[in-house]
Amino acid sequence: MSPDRRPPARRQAPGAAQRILGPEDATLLDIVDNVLSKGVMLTGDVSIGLANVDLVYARVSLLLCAADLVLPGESHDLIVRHAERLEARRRARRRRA
Amino acid sequence: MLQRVSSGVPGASPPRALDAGRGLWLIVADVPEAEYGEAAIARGLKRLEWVSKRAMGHEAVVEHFLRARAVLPMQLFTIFTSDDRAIEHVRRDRRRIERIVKRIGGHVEWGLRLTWDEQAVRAAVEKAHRPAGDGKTGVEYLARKRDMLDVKRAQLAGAQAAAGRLYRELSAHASQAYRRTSTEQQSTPQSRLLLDAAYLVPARRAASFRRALRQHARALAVPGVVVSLTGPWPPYNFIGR
Repeated sequence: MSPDRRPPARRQAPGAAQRILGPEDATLLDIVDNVLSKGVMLTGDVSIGLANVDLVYARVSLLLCAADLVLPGESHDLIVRHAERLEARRRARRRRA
Repeated sequence: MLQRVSSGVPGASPPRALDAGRGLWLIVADVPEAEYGEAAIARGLKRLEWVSKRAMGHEAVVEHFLRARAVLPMQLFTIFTSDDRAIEHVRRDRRRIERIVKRIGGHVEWGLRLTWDEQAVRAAVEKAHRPAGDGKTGVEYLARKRDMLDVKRAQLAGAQAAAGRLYRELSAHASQAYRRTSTEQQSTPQSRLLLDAAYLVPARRAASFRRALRQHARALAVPGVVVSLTGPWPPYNFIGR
């Protein structure tokens, strides 16, 4: 996720733990992980290869920690787009508030 | 057809709502069989980019309904051959679905990760533990290396304990909490996950949850720990619990 999209960090106590917090910066890999392996399971009419899903899932879990390093440029664009959507939603919420 | 909803997965029709009765609605879209048949999906699942695009499309539609009284995400690629088949499946599973709605209604999920920045810790330790002599003799060099290893181990143990404490403290501010120890264990020493947790929080208490996290994170006071919060998410991690 590009750091310049984060809201300004809190200044009062700039320890390691404070580099953090606040931004709703969901990552693409979290999304892949969630929509593939979680949610309400209904037996659909198209059966998908579970072994393959497990493979993708295992890979995704391992990549979770280092998203920015391992993702190809294309996927990174997806993350940025997602961040932009979240930011737009935050702005809309602030306007309402 | 629904207004202003994201277009969903590539190749799909705009999303529609199907009435499943008693206040339950199914959000569906039509997909071409050539792109979403068994064989096509099996091929696509091997490519993370292909999966990613569909995951983002699916997620965008689910997120659109985040403000509904309850949104139950379906697993990606839950495909039926007709609207009737889809409704029939939901009706058959109605009791389970209503139990889940009752539990997660009015809630969103927040994801909390604590990572251990080994490089930052190493830099801090090296700065704080300058060699006593000029560090040029082999014995001095080895002694310093051993000391630093001990310090790093102690700091990691301290950080791990602090992560467990933060997880428990924050659980008091959520309806349910879940710690994914399997991903914590899989993480590498270079970017070690100290905590990989999800919290089910009432949507109206989001602000106080974040405030509590900020307070507890500030009190952590352990060097090298990076805290990241994501959300609000649909309650993915609490559907099956």
